[in-house]
Amino acid sequence: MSNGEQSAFRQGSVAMLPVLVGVVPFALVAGLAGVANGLSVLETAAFSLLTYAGAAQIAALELFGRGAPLWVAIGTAVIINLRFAMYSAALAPQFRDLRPGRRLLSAFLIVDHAYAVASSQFHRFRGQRQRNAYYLGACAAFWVTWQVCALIGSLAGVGLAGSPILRFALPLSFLALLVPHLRARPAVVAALVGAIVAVVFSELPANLGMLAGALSGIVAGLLVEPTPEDQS
Amino acid sequence: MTTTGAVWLMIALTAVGSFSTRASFFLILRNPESLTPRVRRALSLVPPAAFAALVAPIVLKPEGNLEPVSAEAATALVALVLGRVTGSLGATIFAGLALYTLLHGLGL
Repeated sequence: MSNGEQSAFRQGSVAMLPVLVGVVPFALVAGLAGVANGLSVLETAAFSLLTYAGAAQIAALELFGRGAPLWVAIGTAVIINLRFAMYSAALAPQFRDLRPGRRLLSAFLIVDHAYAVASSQFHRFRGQRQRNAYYLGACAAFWVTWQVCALIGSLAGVGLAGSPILRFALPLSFLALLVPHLRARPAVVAALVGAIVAVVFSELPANLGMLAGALSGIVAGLLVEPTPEDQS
Repeated sequence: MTTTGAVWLMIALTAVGSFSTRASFFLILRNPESLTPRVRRALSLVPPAAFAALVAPIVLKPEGNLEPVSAEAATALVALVLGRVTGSLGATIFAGLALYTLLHGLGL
């Protein structure tokens, strides 16, 4: 990296710091979720390192722990991660001229928070390399925090596994993640319909009620015309 | 399949699925602008719809039957309000867990 890129990388890392405070508890819960659902500390760490997708990881573990078939747990995780395709589409043209290795690294490190922070600051940098360095700085700060806190969570969880309080930490963290999405009308409708359909069909085998809820919610949200302020 | 085998299969397939989604527009499509607005909107609706569908049955049917008044439902309501007011993921999770511990301890 050139001097300009190193400086951009540092700035990106620093810009993530306030966001990271809110990420710590979620990473702890992701670590807890592994051991609470019967995985070893090693398996939980491998899941975090390879998949690196908090919400999808916790959802898959939750379903796995409740005895859902493997394909439902994996399918749910992939559906939750579909939003990454949106960030992928937004970032790919920004980094079009970079080397393949750096493009793939940029893709692997996509997370909601780093995308949100970096994309709001790209206008400050002229070249693709500096933009990318800023983005990678934000990603690196997030990645380190996530992996360390998830590991701490899984180690702490070994003693707590099986407690009812711990089991409720997982749904609670999804509620906390849900709140910021409930601004625009289509998203509120998507959440309401998703919740109702999932509750009505909760007796379906293999936790298919959750998938049915998510898909009906998305369709219902698409049917709601967004108001002009929703589109901003 | 052993449980260990199932766990590693889940890890491997979820990892491949996640990376494919993230890399999709870096690798396949030369023209990322080709994502239509409708598809973009559908993708942006995935988090609210999926998170709500995941949580609602656990909150409203904690023991398998519809139970609108419970420690789970009360905590969920407080967490939603708290999340909106504070805007903080951490505060919402910690305060929610504290309340749930209290209500659970009271035998609700």
